[in-house]
Amino acid sequence: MLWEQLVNGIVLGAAYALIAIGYSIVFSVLKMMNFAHGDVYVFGTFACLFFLQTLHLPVIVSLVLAMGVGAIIAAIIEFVAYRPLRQEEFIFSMITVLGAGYVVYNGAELIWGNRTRPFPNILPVKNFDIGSATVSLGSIAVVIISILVLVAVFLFLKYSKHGRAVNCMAQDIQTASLMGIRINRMSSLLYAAGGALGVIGGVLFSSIYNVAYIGMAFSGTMVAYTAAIVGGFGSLPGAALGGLLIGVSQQLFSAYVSSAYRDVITYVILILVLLVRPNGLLGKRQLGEKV
Amino acid sequence: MVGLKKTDTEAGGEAVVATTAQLGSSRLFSRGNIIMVAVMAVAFIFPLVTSNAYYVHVTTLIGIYAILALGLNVITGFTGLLSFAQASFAGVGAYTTALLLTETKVPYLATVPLSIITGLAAGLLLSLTTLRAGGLYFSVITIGFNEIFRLVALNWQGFTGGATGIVGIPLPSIGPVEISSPRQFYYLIGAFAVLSYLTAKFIVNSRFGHAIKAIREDPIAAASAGVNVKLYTVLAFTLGTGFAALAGNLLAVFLTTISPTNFTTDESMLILVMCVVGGLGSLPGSILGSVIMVVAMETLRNVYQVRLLIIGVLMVVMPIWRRGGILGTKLERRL
Repeated sequence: MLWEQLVNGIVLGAAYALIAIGYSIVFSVLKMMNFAHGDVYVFGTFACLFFLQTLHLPVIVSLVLAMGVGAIIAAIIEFVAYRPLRQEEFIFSMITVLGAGYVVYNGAELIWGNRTRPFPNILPVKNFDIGSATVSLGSIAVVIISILVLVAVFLFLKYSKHGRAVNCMAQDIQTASLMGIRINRMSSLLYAAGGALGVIGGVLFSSIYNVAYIGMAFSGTMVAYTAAIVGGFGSLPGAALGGLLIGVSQQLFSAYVSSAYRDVITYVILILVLLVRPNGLLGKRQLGEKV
Repeated sequence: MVGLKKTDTEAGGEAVVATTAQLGSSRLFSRGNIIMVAVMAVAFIFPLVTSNAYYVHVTTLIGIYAILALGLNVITGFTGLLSFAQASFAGVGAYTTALLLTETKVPYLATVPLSIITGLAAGLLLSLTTLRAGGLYFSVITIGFNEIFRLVALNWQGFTGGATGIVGIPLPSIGPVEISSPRQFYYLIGAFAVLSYLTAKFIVNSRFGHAIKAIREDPIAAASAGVNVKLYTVLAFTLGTGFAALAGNLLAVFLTTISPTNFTTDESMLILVMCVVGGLGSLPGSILGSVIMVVAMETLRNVYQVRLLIIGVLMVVMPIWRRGGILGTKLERRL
């Protein structure tokens, strides 16, 4: 029983980790809360559902197209809402991005309605036993997909030219700009990447529970905010770890204590971690922290 | 804290702007004060000339939101702490009021200070325990706090009434007068809104107000000038939540029924939008922001399918059109 819950928690946490990474990649570099993240990945998840069910496209093609949809919408949000206010105090661009998120959310609602929809099982269903727990091949697939995507993101950030530019921007945007990095183009890229990663997370989440609903924009984004902070500001492995931690504790908490308070545990973790380690689990000392 | 920072030169320039503008408005007959008095006079006559109860209802709602936005402006606009929990403190005040009025025989006027005290206590608790996280960390914690409040209100059936909330909150009575008509509510809430405005004005123009503005501009400089940064940020946050609790108290008796849906994080965001649209660091701006947003929300009620879309477009266009909020920029340009 415990093992099974633990495995379920890890699977949920793997999907959360992707959503959190997509959020954190914008958060840690541009130092602003991307409030449209949830709306973008829900739109992408519904788009994936559309490609699968209405157009009957193969799973991989649907997923890639949906990621494209998420990336394009996120890039548009960057261009319309973030870019004009990039050099102002970050609170203004946060409000405009939040507004753009409302537009995307309302758009998804208008196109697909706000009722809960069944999401087809796109993962393999074969079961087998590991020790005392029964594990489905689908669960393993979710975890493997997450790990592959995460490794790809890390390799990209570490070894590609654009990845190094991102690291440079994370340290100091002004200096990065002086070094010839095109900040506007890189911000579009970051938003697009964040949107695409969020869509993978959203699609995996939906296929774990076999439902897609518009409300998952909010709950998923809350997990992403929390995971990014719990893991440590500016640390992508931290965000992934945070997502995993939250997935496992939500699953265990709802199985053994109370499912009504399942989401409360997310914030309790947040507060506890910050009280013990103010910079998050893997975070470096926050830049600009003083007095 | 690290919340709302610009580069050093910009912040310095802004500090000068803030001080000058603020000295200007502390004169009794400054243009700003005269306009505010004129607005209040119009607001006073308004329910006497209109017979439409709905308009009076909406204007009353504006009063409640204005109190919330004024409090948040003290926190975000003047101290530079980004808070997403303002609605939950309104919730603390509202539930306190509702429980006192339905379960006990406490008269209405006594619930006002009591709900403010519980709101202040909640604000103090949150800021004392988590403010050391600072900056964006603190902002995310406030989202968490708002969600914890909502989930507890939703699930603690026996105490808060769960999803249905608390219904049948009795009408407030002040002495022998029972407040029941829309017009009476308008004047009750209007009086509290004016009182809140004056209190907020007093706070930001006081010595304490100068200290929190100094903290907003540069915590290190403020600390080296002898400002107790930690104490003052905690106090400023707590004071701001007191406004929210008062608004919650008024909301509870005005709506006569409250539920967790009144105090969601979205609601907190809406209050923040009011502050930003009107102008952070401008008290009349908070009032203007609440007028704009409440009127927008109410007019769009008929087209609820695209309401969020239009609000969203408004939220994208307004800050780009007028950077720093409608009254915020005007303040700067005056120099």
